[in-house]
Amino acid sequence: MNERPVFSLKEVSKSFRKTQALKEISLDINASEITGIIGPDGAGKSTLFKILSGILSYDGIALFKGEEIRKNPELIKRSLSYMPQGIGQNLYMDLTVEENIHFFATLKDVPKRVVEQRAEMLLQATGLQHFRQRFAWQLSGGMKQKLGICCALISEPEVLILDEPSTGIDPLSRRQLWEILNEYLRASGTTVVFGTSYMDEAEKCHSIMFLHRGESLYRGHPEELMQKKRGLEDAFFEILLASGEELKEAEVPVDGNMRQREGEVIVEGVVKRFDSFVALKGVSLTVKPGEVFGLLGPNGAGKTTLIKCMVGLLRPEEGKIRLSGLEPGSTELRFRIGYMSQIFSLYGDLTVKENIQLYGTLYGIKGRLLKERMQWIINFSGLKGKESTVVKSLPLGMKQRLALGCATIHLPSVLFLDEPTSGVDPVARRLFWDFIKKLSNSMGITVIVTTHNLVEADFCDRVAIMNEGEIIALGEPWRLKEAFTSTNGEVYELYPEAPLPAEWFSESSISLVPYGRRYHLWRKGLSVETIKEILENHGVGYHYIKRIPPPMEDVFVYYLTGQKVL
Amino acid sequence: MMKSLYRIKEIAFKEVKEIYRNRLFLVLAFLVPFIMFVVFGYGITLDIENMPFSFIDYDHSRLSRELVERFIGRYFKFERPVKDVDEAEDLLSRGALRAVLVIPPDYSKNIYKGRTAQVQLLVDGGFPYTSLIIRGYANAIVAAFNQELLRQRQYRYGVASTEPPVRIETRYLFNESLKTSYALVPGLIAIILLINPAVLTAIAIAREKEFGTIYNIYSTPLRKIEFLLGKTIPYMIISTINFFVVVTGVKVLFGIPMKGSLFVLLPGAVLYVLINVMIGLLISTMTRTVVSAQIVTLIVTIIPAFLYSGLLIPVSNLGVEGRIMAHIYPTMYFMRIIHGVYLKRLGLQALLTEIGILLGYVIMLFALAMVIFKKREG
Repeated sequence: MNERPVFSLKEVSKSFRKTQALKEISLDINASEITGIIGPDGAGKSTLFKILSGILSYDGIALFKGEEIRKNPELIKRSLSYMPQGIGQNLYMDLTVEENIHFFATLKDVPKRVVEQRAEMLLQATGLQHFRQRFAWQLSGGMKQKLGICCALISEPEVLILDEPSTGIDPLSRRQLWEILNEYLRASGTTVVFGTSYMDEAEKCHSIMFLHRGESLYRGHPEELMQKKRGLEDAFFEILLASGEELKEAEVPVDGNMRQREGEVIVEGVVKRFDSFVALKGVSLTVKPGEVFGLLGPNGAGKTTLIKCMVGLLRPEEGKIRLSGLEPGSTELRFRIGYMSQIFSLYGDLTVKENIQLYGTLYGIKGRLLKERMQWIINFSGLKGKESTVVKSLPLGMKQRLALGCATIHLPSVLFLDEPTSGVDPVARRLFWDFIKKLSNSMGITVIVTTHNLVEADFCDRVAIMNEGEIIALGEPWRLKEAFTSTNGEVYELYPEAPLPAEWFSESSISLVPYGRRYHLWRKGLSVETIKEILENHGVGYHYIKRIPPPMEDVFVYYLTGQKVL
Repeated sequence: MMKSLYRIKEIAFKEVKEIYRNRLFLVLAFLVPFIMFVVFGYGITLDIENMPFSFIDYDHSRLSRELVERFIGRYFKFERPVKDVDEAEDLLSRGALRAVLVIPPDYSKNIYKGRTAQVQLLVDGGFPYTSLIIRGYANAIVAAFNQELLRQRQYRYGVASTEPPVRIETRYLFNESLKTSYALVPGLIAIILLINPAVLTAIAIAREKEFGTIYNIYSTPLRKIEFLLGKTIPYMIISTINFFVVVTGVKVLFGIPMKGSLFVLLPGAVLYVLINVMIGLLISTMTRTVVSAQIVTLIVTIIPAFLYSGLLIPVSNLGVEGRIMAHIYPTMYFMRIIHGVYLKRLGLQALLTEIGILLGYVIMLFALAMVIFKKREG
């Protein structure tokens, strides 16, 4: 791949009024590769994508095939498909699946005679072929994103720019999205620019750039980072610390240590129906006091319904739920549980102090106690000196910690967190989880958390994987991994010198999942020798083969797709 | 060229599908303008019965009482006695009364002598349409009374006289220059066709911005003119349909005839609709959200529509600034076309200037939209 890079950026900067969104970014994007732009929310990813797409002005040099984008922005638009950030953002909600694809074909001048055939192929590949007449608004988040990809690929673009296509969709849909991309890339040689805030997704890219506050902190291949660290989440964490981010020890409020562990959660045979739809089909689980319990599962699996039943917002038709021995919905219990849903529970136009005061009032905390707790929340969320700042102008990580503080101001027995850390950087995530650990270890607070970020599953004491209203796996993360290896064999990571066709391995019924230039492979009884043999037979060299603990994502997908090995 | 037309057609079709399938949008497109028309129309016409009325009788005769009795009935309701003109004006200005009949001291003397007696009707002119109706009723009442008097006179004296015994003069307080009757309801056509197309179109682009679909337009080779035309056409058609609905409403609901021809009105209406679609287009290229686009459009359209269009206040009665505003906003020219067709039976020839001016607006605004709309964000 010694060709000229498709995009070549030199010291590209962009400012919006006072804020500088991008600071002197230099980057080459190679043809027929997936280049990952990794970074938390607000890092400048979208700004970069808009510049590449010719819809945003910039300072510096940005070349597309040797031509300055600024000079002829319409040129790139002929070779490009751009998918903006947000689930279903590029779709017309009142059009059907087919109509959306056809409209994009019109926008991109795809000759009529090839549209049908291509649309058919894409619908098949994405599994949307049975939903042609569905309106876009009727699709689930994962399906919307797949349709978005179909629309983007209908013109067979040379360049595909995807701005966080996988944010907010479940790990299974995410896996399928990557399969489609890898498949398509191999067949067409398209250049893909992929934005994401999931650090582990960077492992699947060929080249990556780690963006943070508009600056490029790392450029290169994921393999280089992986050699030093186990996962990219850890690698980026180190990079951030090196760049001057601070990691502070979380504290416990003065009166926090004296509490009793009482937040036991018992769920027995809970059934919840919505008309004819059964959302929960007899769910049972027990969460010990002080445990951090993760709820995983695809969208629509029943996670939210289960949490709503536990909090007392929904009443199940059958079964029993007890939190600290109390029934959900009772007034007494309301003062003993906390709930944080992403960041929307804060009032953006109020200051930090006002938000904390408001929550204190809601939970009947006043006087000296309120002052103490306020100090505590401000300390651990790193908001010292920003007490009078309006919340909406804070960085995402701080907002999330503040929201967590507000949800725990009354030191609840049980704390519910709904996707608490989506979109934050690894340091902010680590701070958040350190604090959650503190809450559970020192104060004995039971924490129940839902997440799509499987990196976080490893932070939990135990996890439950839900699908279609049932719990299909339950246990410590290492136990689930063990169960995975005992049925599927060990997982190996292989870094070959050239891309590998899946057929070489499917012949010997070995599962092969591409991760950028690397692959994960497994089969019961698979040994390093077998892999080496296959490579030798085809005359392909390799950098390394090593045994790795199965990534949570592979485990998750394995459970969801039944006992079948992928 | 063919490809271009194809793309314009596809964009327009997509737009129509979205409107058709989105119930809220459908209501906004068709139901709201109709409701606006009916509400405005009846709002101005409904309180035309039982109007609070009083009289000042300086004559105190049998004939003066007879005249007053004729006034009081279905249309005028006697509210309270009034002692002099000052009090009458005060009550009229506060809206406690809508009309006051003033009968002078020499009223019956003049009638008996065969001369014409003058009476005066003081009317609150703040509501032009109501005032016009009041004058119409008063004239009819006096005419009937005159007929009666003349018949009696002929019966008694055997003389046929053509001189009316009583002549009523209407004096409008607060807005003295009411000109034409039947002007207001047709005038509403101009208002509805101003507000509705502008608001709808403003939403159309702002919605794509808010949802993110605008990036499809930004990031594809689609040309600006194709996008803008594709967006314009559906709303032009919707508003033209609304034009026919409102014209039918003027006739059927309010029984107001059109003296001139619909074919004279139509070209002006289509151009006028186009102008307002463009106004919406311009506003939505400059705003980011649906709500802000709507609010800006409402402010930009409603205020001038009522103040500077010649609907409620004749343009000639406005101050200099007002008159300048009236000439800048296109509504006045279409209002002239409406009045010309509805009241004066004017032909196409006589209205060519107005139509030409409207055409000029269309071209100017579209050019402006082409300049302002950019296929990029910043």
